[in-house]
Amino acid sequence: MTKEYDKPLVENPTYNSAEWWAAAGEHRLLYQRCTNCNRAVFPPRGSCPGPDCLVYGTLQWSESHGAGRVFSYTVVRQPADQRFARHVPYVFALIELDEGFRLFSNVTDIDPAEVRIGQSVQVYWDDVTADVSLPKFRIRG
Amino acid sequence: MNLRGAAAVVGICELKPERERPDRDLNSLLAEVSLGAIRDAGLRKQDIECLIMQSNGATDGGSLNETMSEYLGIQPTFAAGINAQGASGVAGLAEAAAFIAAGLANYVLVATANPVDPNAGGPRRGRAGRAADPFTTEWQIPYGPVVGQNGYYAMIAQRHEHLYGLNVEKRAKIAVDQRINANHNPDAFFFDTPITTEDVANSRLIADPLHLLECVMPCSGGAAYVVARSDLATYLPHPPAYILGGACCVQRVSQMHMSDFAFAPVERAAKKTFAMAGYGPRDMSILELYDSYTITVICELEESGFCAKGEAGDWLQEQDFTFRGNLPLNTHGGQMSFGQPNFAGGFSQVMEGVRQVRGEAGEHQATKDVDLVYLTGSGGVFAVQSAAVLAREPR
Repeated sequence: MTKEYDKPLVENPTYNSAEWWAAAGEHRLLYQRCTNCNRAVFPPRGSCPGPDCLVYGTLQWSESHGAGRVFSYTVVRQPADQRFARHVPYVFALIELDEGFRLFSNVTDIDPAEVRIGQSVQVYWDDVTADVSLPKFRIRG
Repeated sequence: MNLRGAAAVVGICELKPERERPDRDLNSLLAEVSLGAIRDAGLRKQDIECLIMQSNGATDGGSLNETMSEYLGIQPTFAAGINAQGASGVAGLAEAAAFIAAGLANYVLVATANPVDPNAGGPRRGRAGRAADPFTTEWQIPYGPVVGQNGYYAMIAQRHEHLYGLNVEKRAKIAVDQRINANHNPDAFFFDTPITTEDVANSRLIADPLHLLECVMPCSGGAAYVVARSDLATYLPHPPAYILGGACCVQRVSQMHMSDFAFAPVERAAKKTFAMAGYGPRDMSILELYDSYTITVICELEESGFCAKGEAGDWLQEQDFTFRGNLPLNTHGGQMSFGQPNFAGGFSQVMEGVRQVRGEAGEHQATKDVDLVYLTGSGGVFAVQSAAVLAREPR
């Protein structure tokens, strides 16, 4: 655990995401599933974006197994934020989880030149502060 | 009922892009371009009945119409916003025409400007891009912010390359042909600097797989245009550029929920625009397409129907996109070579489309006859995209 984590974190989660961050602190990767149309939804919100869902509040929390694939990625070589300067080049990726939702994260512990679209990845948790854990991914062997 | 041919662009004003104008503010630039466009139209302030002032993204646009009403001394009977980021310039054409077709105004003033890069970032300042929406601040930034939109468009290019093999050498065609156009436009930021395919491929990787010469450079600038009712437009000094159709499709704010983001949402805007205009892609004389990156233009060409999805790679190489070519594209140089004054970057395509219809583009005037111009705008990361057709005749 890093004592003085200096990178940007969300100070006030949105109305719908407080529960997600609380679960992340316990290393559980949540997403929402619609009780009306069964769609997997992320990021957290109060109503389903499905075409036939017209009622607020049909989304329920589900827990992901954390297995997925690299949907797309880029290698950041020039930090937009100096607090990330010591990490370049790093892999910024969009991960598609097996449950059917996507989230942005990092793929770590790999030479960035070795990353490919479609690679299988597994979540792990980076405990960046005493309260906040971020889901990150490693290639699944 | 639709807006086809109901209105025309009759006045334009655009500032020459500069790296930044730290001594200027948004309102002073808006005033300069607004007055220029009214003068160019041969109108008086009191003719303007509708204001559409577009914020530069850094400043709250909530009271911009009121602010500029007082600043300019213009008291319209209607005012509105566009709020489509980089898609605003092209989206504003249909919006202004719709107001005119509905009888809300005879003359509409649309303007935007940008003193300095509102991303307050990029390589020169080394800070993260602007991120106002919670989907971005909460779910993207903690994993390492990217400069401007570079990383997100890089993911689109990566995906496109994965699906269709469109590599940097093929994408470079856009950057190289547009640069030739810029080399004939003294107002373009890169007027003096020719580039080759090798230059693009050998330029520094910014965010894999995008190279430096595939990206826009943020700068300062501003632009405004006046739209008039068609029957009034013919009495004004310049040949009118008639608005035959337009659309603006809003898709999303982040990339997390797309079926596949190698597909640009401009497809929906293009279909609606062409249907309204009564013309198709092959009828267009020239193209002025939003170009934040090479991949942006390529997806817009595919999704607008100029070539089949995934076939741009070879098709691009068979075209001559320069002002003397078979399919002139971004005849001013595009934002990649002209400069991108934030949201005013998307206005540059409108300015150039109007100049081309008028036949007043000077050295970079298309050598072929220009009677129909297809335009696109794009905001965010394929978050909102607009399209329009401008024409020399109101048919």
